[in-house]
Amino acid sequence: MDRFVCVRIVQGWGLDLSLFQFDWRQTWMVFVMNSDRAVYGRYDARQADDLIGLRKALEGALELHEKWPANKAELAGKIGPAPRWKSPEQIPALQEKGRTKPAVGKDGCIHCHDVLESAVRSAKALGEPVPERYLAPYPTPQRVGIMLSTKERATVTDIDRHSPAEKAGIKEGDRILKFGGQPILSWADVQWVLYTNPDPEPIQVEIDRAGRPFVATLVLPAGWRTR
Amino acid sequence: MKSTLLALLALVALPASPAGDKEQLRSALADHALAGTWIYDDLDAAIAEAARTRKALIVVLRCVP
Repeated sequence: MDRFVCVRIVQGWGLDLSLFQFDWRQTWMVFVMNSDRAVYGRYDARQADDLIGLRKALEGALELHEKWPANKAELAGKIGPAPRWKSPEQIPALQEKGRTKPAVGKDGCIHCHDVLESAVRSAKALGEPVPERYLAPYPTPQRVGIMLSTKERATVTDIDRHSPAEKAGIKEGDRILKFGGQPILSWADVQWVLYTNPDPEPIQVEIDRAGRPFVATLVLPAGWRTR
Repeated sequence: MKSTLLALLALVALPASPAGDKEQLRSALADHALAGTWIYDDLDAAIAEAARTRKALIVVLRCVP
């Protein structure tokens, strides 16, 4: 851990939503990044039963850090599209709840789960279209038929029959190196690519299969997010 | 004596530093886990430290339950 600077953020107020976009339903989230605000990867509470996965994700982040900035282009997609509101306290539904100031204690804190819910509620109140990805946010890899180990960065433990993953030729034991062109450190990184994918664009999956490279093309059927 | 008093008044009148605010927040939340090497609720300070040391940055987003 001494190879990292570590910071804990305890409130949503002031968060830069152009940088920090993640599955807001999680109880905690880790971003590994650098001082140029480039994101190397995400890691979430869902994988926390086995912290060896976190250790491997951090090792992968250090590999990416050593390559910075030569790898700037392949990391660009780890930052999301420009948000409708730049920080949580600007979201109208949170302003209505009085969440306009930094927390001074437990009262008044903007919690992570408030952010997406409030953004959806505010968009509806303003008569703005709500993107489908907001209504079915952060699809897990299982949604496309991929089960991943919690002990590794992104190693496939099982594939659902008749799923998009099976049709793409992805197999148990495959190590996912890149997903949608982005280096993958964790389950949450796969989830991020699924969340931000511009449907119906297929997702290219770069795999290490028993030491040999394999490239799969994941085709996502219409309505896959909400099916 | 007068100059000392003025200096004291000037100090009192200064806005609280961000670090001071964060320590107040930490005390209010009784949140003393991860004390020491972890930077508390201050992303700008962490980014500055990462730039100074050329280290990567771990950002944990976690409310106090």
